[in-house]
Amino acid sequence: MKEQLSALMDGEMDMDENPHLYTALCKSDEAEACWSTYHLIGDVMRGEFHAQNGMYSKIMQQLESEPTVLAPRRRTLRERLQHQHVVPVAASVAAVAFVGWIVWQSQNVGLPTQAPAPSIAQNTLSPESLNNYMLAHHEYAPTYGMQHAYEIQPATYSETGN
Amino acid sequence: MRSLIRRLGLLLWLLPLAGQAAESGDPWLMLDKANQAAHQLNYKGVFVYQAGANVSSMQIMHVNYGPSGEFARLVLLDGVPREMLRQGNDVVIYQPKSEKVMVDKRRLQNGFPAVLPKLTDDLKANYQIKLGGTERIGGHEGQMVTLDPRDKLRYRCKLWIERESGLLLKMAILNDKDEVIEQVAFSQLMLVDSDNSDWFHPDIQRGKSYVMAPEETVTPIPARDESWTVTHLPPGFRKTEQVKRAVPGKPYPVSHLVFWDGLASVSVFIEPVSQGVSVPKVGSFSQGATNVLVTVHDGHQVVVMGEVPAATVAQISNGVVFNK
Repeated sequence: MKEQLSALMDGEMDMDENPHLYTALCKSDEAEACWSTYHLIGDVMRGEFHAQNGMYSKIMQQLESEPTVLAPRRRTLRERLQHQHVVPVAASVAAVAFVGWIVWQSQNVGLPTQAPAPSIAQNTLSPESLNNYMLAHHEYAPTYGMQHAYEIQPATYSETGN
Repeated sequence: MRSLIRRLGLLLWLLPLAGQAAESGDPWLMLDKANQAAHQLNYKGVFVYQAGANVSSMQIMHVNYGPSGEFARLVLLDGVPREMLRQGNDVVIYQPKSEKVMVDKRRLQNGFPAVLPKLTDDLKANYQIKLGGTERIGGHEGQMVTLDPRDKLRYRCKLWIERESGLLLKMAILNDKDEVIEQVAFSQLMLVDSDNSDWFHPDIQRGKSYVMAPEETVTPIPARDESWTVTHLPPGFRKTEQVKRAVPGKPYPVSHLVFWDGLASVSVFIEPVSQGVSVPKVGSFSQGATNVLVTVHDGHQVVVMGEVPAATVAQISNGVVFNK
């Protein structure tokens, strides 16, 4: 288990083919630790990892007590993406994306496609076109109203379709 | 670590304040208690949110695990079964879309019932506070407190605060005609004990792929690079932030200025108009208490939005000046 996590951190293992790894981390009923793990793994993948609050050692302690799972080595994400001729930028996005959450799936993790460049704009102002600003307003300004913030969708969702 | 120290400091504050609020009936202290109760207490319930024609209800479970922080799970009960898992200001939103579940990571400053500001001189300078009667809301006795603006540049806010726990039961934002333009209220609410955190997970939909949206990066701008100023700022508003940040969907970092009066906030977003790509749309609209105005200044699109009257948004927009 510990080796698997190390392999994961080294980018040598495909987490979406090893869903048990992340779910095992979540098995203890400490969701906060699980949540922090998610952030930690994301940070590690982005190279921003700093040992915070002993989180890393806590995870490692937890993993020490886990049985080692013997499984054949899967093709890594990097290899899969290279195989599919996806550009490295997309690979890094994908790595961050699935490491956190894409653990229940064994395949078919799709990347959100880039939003098409805006064409000639209409003259009427649509509230949806400002959704990204609405979200930024909620993220950074101390708003006291607007509970629909949870419902605002990034403009890219509707543009990318299904 | 810093948040832990802040939290401990808050706790030390909370204990004496809670007693004083109950004894003295000082509405400012009640407000402060409500602000803290929303963060400190463990509760679950359903609240209904209304802004204009838009009505939706949301289930909430909120637990404060002390040093580990605040956790909340929200489920939208109307329409698409969207779920939000929140830790502090970090929010992960799960939204089913066809055969996928979109996973969107965001940050949010405030969320009901934790929407009240800390007591500041700004708040007290711009609003008068009044104690009202009691009213039954979601099965609880609510003590009404009104924040009356000292001028027409901001909205009136009515609050109903649960007498014992101090939890905010209901909030209504009213315009100068005393019409409710936005409100949110608990229809069910109970305090809970939570020893474990089994509840803090999304409702997993097996067989669907989870697709995570790309994350935004933020680049603060050095102060000397500030290229925009807002002159003739409406009285009582203060600039709390000015940065250049990446906003999803925008090809370049956008200037973002935030103004605050102790309760209401206004954002100004400024981006260059890309030549030959699009004609910027200008105009205005409102959603609940939020007014939005889009104009063009000096070859830039200026978007002003905030939970203040349209005239206040317009005044801020008119004051935007490019520092040449």
